[in-house]
Amino acid sequence: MQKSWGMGGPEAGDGDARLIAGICRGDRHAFQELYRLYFPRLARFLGRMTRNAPLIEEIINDTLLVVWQKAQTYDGSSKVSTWIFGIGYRQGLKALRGLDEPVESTVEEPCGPEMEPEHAVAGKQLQQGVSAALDTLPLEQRMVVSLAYFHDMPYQEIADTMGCPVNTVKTRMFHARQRLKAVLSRHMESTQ
Amino acid sequence: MNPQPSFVDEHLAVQRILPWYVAGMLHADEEANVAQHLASCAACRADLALEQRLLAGVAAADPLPEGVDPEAALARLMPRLDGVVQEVAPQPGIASAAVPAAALARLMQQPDAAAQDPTSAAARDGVAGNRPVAQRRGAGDAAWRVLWRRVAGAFDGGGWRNWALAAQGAVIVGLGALLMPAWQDADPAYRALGNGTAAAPDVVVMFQPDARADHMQQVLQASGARIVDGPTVTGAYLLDVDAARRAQLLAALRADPAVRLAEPLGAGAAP
Repeated sequence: MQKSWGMGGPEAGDGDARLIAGICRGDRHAFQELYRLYFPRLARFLGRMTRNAPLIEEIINDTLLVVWQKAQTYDGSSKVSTWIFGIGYRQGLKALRGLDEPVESTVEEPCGPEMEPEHAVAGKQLQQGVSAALDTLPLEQRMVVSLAYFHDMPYQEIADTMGCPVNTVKTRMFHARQRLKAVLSRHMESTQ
Repeated sequence: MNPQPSFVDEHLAVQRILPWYVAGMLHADEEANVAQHLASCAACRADLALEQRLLAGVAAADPLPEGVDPEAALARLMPRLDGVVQEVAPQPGIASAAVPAAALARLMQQPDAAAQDPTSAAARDGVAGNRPVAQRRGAGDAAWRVLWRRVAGAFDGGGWRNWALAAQGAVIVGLGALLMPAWQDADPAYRALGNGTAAAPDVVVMFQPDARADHMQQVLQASGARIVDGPTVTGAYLLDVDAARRAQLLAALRADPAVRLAEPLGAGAAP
């Protein structure tokens, strides 16, 4: 996958806004275009919340249904992507809360030794290791990392998406990064 | 010598935003501050190098979750947009025929207020309402906006042909509105020749442009239906049929390839 950092080009933002305008007019073509554009992005994002593929699809559908219904309330104060990811995050949390099974830790405390990311990467390649290490992070930290690393979001947008203060985003990222760095250090030692 | 408190503050602040610095996602002033700090902080420079390695490592570590299917999920979602079951259009050939018919059926049968309400059980389950036509007439601007949105949404993606169909649909709805007094008055203003009873159209039907006249006649006669009006300017015919045979007529018409659209009329029409 080609990674492209940045604030998102103006063309991409204009395209999203054009599709939202179309959806406001009830244009299903625009809706389907937006859906296909956002499905992979939301799926990768929500895939950090749950591995249940049908549930991921359901959360995405609930998210885009809200987009269809509420498109007229989108006021342009944030980017379309921030708005949609915010809806997706809330729908994801709602879906996880609806499950009886204990799915995710949401407590931001140090993990026990058995959960240390380092243990998750023994003998694995760096990418797999980092990915596995990501999955051992508390949910909120994981989502911040996902939005920053994989979805190119500045911390202000992440705060908007997750509905939390900017400082909280920075703190979550800081803690997440300490763990990921430990993984990386271990990997570098093992490959030297 | 201990570092200055301001340096510690600066160091911590930089540590908290370093990933966004590496990604080039900081404002210019913040970026300048980080750059300035990096010049004087070996620990942060080392951290920066590590962060760059980390970014390179995670760049490809975010695959699509296994087992998700965008098109299948989209196909499940589309009917929920209006809260009623309708054709999604993955196959372009089917879309132009099926979607307008379903949209017209909803226009004639659904409660307007529930149109975009996701919490409406009727809307979610695709259950059309049975509110009498007369109650829908004063629904106001909001209802008309909903109608317009619904029509526009249903006819997307097909260019001028779909808009022509939309115009046809609008004319049919208008015709329906004109006929409403006749459906509901106990003493109708006109009587059809021949039987002396009120002629209240039960079904609207539109044939394919290439449908043959003798075939059309045959289809109607087989179900005991009579044409009580039409062809309208849109090519629609209004049919009269015994209530007991209406379902049979609709089924026969819908199964016929020469029929583009067949929908029940009247307040008690079933979806």
